Amino acid sequence: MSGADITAVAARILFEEARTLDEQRFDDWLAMYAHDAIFWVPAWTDDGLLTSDPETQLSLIHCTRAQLAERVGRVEGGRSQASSPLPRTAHILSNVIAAEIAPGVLRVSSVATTHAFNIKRRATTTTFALVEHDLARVDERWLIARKTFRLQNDYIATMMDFYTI
Amino acid sequence: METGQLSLADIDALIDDRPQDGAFRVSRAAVREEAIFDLEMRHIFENSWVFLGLSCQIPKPHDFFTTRIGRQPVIVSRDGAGRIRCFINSCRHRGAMVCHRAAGSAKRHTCQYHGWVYDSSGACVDVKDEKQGAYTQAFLDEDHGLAQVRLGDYRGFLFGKLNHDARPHDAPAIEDHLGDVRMMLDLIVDQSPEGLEVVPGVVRYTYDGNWKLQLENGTDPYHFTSTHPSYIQILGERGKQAASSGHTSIYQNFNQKSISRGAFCFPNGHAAIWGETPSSDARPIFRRLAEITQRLGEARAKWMLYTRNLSIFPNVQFAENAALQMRIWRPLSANKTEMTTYCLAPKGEDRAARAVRIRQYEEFFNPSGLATPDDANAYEDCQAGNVTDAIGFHQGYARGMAAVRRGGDEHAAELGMNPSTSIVGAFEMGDETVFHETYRTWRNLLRQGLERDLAHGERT
Repeated sequence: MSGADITAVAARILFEEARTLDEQRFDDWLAMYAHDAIFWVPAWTDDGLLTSDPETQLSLIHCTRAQLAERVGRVEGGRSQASSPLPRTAHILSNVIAAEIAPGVLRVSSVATTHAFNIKRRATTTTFALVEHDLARVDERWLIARKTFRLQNDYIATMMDFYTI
Repeated sequence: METGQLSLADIDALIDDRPQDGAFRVSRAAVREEAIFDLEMRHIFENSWVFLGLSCQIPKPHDFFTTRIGRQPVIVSRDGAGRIRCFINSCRHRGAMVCHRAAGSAKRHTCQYHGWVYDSSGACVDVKDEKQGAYTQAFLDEDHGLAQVRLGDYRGFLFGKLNHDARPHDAPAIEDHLGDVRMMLDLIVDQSPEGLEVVPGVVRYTYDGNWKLQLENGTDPYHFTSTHPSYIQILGERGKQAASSGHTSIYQNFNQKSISRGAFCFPNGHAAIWGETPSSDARPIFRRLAEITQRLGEARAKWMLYTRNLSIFPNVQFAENAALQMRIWRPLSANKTEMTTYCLAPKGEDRAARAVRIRQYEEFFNPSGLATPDDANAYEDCQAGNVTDAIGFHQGYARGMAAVRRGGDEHAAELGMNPSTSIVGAFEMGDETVFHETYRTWRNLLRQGLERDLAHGERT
């Protein structure tokens, strides 16, 4: 595939992922992730660096796919008051660029702005992040093997979860 | 209630404290009124010892971090000789903040407005174009250094005290201010012979609620099962799946029937709760227990494995359950609070234990975790429901009153502590007496402050 074709393929997958989140089809969202996928939102340090090693440094979220499934269960289970009713979201993606970094592996950079409307408070929060996906070709499908955020406004209004960024 | 119209009677009425009748009630105005917030800022946060941070955050000469004491920005800096100082982050020329970074290392802090330069001890080392400035001797005789703030250092826990009046030594020494709550801080810093460190990374968030909602939540065992069922459920499922492979979270095997809980109040508003840990083998220090026991004895080793939540009045908590969190708050208004949170750990911890610690920390404590978002939502619900004086008092300070005792109990004695009150009971007791001394301290400081205002004629 040419670079433009790769980027088009990758963008379509990222847009589909965003749509599953905004339509709250979380099982469909999970199904886009590889079984050994990592979902990672590193924290920043006080001297302005993004943490780079989740084993020795703090992250906002560092989840395996199994832990993402737990989060989905939590927000859908109705026993988390922070997630009930679920905020409505709009994930807006742009600046998608993809490259094939190994046979069957795409690295995709994008910029994401996510608006979340807290129904209880009638309040809207916005996060914006530089995002990197690794997509892996598995059984004729592209699956998300890794998703990493560079959260640019890490001053969190009350709460943050997988669907608000 | 409006600023400038508070009377001493208003302050007295904030607590209905009648031990003889078994009554302790806190006014709903306590978390709601901006007039009270104004008094809190001036007479508590800006006129008593306030937690700043840890000395291990600034290990080398010229390292610094910035924070606030109440509303006032300050710099905590190690000078060239390695001595820790705290000074007001405001240029002496026109008041601009001279340091805008949260932390770093700098031999000089230069005001970006008119270019005055300060060294890492806060001394002014250059007034730009001083020679050409046609200054009078009166100006030259002034100290142009950044205003020093009184600093207290208890084993690396740093506190600062602003002084509005001309009595810089009217506050007790930090050791006296902390009292026996120091033994609870010792349990944090002594987990490694090398001391404490901050895991790199900071998490800041806000919630739309009063700072005292966080203060209370940190030592509130009553909310756990009703606020965090989704978290308990997840860990329960994990516990079933991983029953044979050891615990990765202390709340696996959580069973409230088998756990006892205790609480202590200390003078000056400090408080602590403690409890047995459901799965102590998931504690990162568990595998180092032999070394800890040998160094500190069995009692303190046992206490290190307990869950312990500690409030140092007025602005910091150390919560050690799933991991060890330092949470510092900055009240922004009566109904908005900023949280700055860190994961702490004993120095020299091995890599596997550190990773277990960090994952547990993130899951429980982060505003992006599985528990803290539900707490913060509850604070916001409290603030949203409490907007008028239609109801006078909360009913949320009565649990445990029939069981609490003055002074220390046998558990406090294990650590050699002499708290103001002690209580121990079943997990479901959900003690609320732990808040009483805090609110008495709070009310007394507000009352003394308002008395000073009235005496100075600043308020009518």
